[in-house]
Amino acid sequence: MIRLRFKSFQSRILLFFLVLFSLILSATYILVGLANLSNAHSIIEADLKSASKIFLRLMDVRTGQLADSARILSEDYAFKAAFATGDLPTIGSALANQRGRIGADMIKLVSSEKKLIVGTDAADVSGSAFGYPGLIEMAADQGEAYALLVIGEETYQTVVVPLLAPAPVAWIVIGFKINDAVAKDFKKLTNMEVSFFQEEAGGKVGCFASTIPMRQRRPLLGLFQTGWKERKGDASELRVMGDSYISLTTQIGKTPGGEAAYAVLQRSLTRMMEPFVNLKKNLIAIGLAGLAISALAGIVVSRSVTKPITSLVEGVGRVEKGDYSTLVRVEQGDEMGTLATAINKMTVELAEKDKIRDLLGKVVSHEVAEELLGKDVELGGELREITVMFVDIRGFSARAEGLNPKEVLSFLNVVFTTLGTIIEEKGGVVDKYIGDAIMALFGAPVKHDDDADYALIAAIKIQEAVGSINLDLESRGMARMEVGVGINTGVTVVGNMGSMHRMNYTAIGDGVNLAARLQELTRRAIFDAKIVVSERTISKAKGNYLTRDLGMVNIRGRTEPVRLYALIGKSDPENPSNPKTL
Amino acid sequence: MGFRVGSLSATKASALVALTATLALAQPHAAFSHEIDLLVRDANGVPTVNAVAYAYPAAGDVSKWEPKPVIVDQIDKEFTPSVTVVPIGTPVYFPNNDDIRHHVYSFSPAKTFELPLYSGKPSKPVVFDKPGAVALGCNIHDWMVAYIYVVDTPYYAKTGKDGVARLENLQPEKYDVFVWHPWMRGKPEDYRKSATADGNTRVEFDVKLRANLHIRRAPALGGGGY
Repeated sequence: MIRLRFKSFQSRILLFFLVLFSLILSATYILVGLANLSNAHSIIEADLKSASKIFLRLMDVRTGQLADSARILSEDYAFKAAFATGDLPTIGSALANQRGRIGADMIKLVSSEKKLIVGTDAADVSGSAFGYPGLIEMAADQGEAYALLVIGEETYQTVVVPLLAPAPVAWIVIGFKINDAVAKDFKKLTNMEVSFFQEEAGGKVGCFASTIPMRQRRPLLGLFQTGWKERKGDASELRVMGDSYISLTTQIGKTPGGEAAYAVLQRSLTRMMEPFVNLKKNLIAIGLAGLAISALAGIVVSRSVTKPITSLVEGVGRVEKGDYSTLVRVEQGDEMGTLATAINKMTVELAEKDKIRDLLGKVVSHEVAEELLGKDVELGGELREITVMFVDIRGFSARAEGLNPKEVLSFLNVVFTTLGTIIEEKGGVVDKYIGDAIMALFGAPVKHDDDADYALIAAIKIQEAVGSINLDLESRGMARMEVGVGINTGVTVVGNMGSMHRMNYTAIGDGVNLAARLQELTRRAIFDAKIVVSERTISKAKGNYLTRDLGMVNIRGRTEPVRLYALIGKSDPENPSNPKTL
Repeated sequence: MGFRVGSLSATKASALVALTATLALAQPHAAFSHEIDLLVRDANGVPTVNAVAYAYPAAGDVSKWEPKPVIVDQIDKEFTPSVTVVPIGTPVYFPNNDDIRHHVYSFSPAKTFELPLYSGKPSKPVVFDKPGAVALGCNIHDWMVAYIYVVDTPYYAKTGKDGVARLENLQPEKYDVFVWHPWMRGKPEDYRKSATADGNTRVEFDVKLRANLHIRRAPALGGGGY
């Protein structure tokens, strides 16, 4: 199954409404249609059945009237007298007179020997054998006989009665035509289409009268010739020339030869369903209008739901990008409003936190700020081996004497910015500024594998930077500056120190003190070293560095001497014999 | 049953009815009083009333007879009797014993006649001079039907309720026997049988009858019934 994906919530709601509405409409439409069709079927079938009874009754009445007339004729003394003359023209004339009296379409007089005595039809030949001797025989047995006679192109409902003088002396055959006029009369009465079919020799069927226009009779006949007998007595649906008819076939009589004639009553289902066609149109119109209205309503409803959501999504998106300036505007008192309020509150808090983080990043180093923000701030520390660097601007005090305080601060800021940047680039953290000195940590609060290396490289970079600064100073005719760097790696206590209200993240301990002492050693001319590094740092470093062994040195405040090295540079792996000089 | 030949002054029709047969049978050959009994039944085996039976000697002509007048009465708008068999030459009177008029007629080829509306006894009888069946009707009462069957032999009879007719005064010889009935299918010749009148002869006829096609009697004006 194809699964349609609609990204927007709004279109999903809309689709749901439309599909639901369409389903209900379609179901209604189909059910109403089926009910109407079934109703029309039932009505037509019931009408057809009563019309069929009416028709048979009508035929009975007409036949009965004919028989009554014939019986009166059979007792008519004058006619008997005329018959007794044996004079055929006289008898024929009397017969024609009688036909006029009773309004029959056909009248013949047949002898007991089944010979035609005289008839009113032009084709009648006196003395010829009557075509239906069995009919006369039947009348002789039963007093009278009824049959359908096909004479020429016409079908007659026929009654045979004796001419009683007063015993039967001849037989009066009298009939009325079943023709289009009869069909038309019947249609007037019942509003049904009626067609008459006659079985013919060889199992064929012919239509001899109908209310249906000629051009429609042939297709109807075609339909009836295939299996129509099976349909007798049951209403069935037939399509003729694009119109649907419900038909009912009723046998109306038989010829003396046993060939049955049928009346096929029909009512147009198409016409019966015409009111429903209008209803259908109205249903479709109502359906479409309803669909449009529900689409609009769906849009309105879904918008009322999705608009605040969209607004929230946009607001959260802005927050994600770091824009805390615009708050979400949802003026609703429902869950959406609550959610918006919560998001706004969160945004404000995030904005404050970000502001703090920003400020913290300026006051303390970025890593320390992250450390402080990342977890609950609490006093206390841990023992950790880190590399501590002290950087001191040499002869700053003398320089400061010749400058106003603003210039001093400006100069210091320039230098500190340059040196601080180098330290941070190398993964170090400026722990604090102590006058014209910098204390930097490598390995706290974030520990790296190469902290010792980073510290050494940072020191080298610092000296290089100082070289550049000196070039600049010289070009301005100012005195050079020197920077001494002391580096030691040792176990220290790192953590937040101070009070609950005011604390610093820093490192304390012998390792820190030693680094400060090593920086001080750079001032001693005998070492002639701008970077003094303890043996522990050199041993921790993984890279190769150019160093000069300063030997075991006694350090103030320490009982054991410490082996120190002057760091000269990073060995050039391609040309180790040509060390880069500081 | 007494012999009251020619005593037509009798007023009671029932007596006349009984007489009609015996009048004809009381013929000169009384000395040879042989008989043939006929039993006439319909297809259902029911004895047939009012069937006419008559016979001719198989060898030779029939003897001469002297026609005697016969009465077909009209009582309560019915012919009585409804079937009468007479030999050729018989004069038949049609007295009207009702207090209304009747119009007796026949269009039968054997005797066509008409007695226009009359009451009482017509002065002249109708002489039946041709063999065959004569259907009598009344022009103003469609249901009134009677038959006079005219035979050219002195040997005839009519079946009673038991369906039996007795041909009497026969010679002890062989006869061709015929039957006729108004509703009978076919002709008397179709029912021809041979029988010898030797004292104790009985011939059975099974005839096929049609339905009675006559008009049912109409209710009298004023609701008097039949």
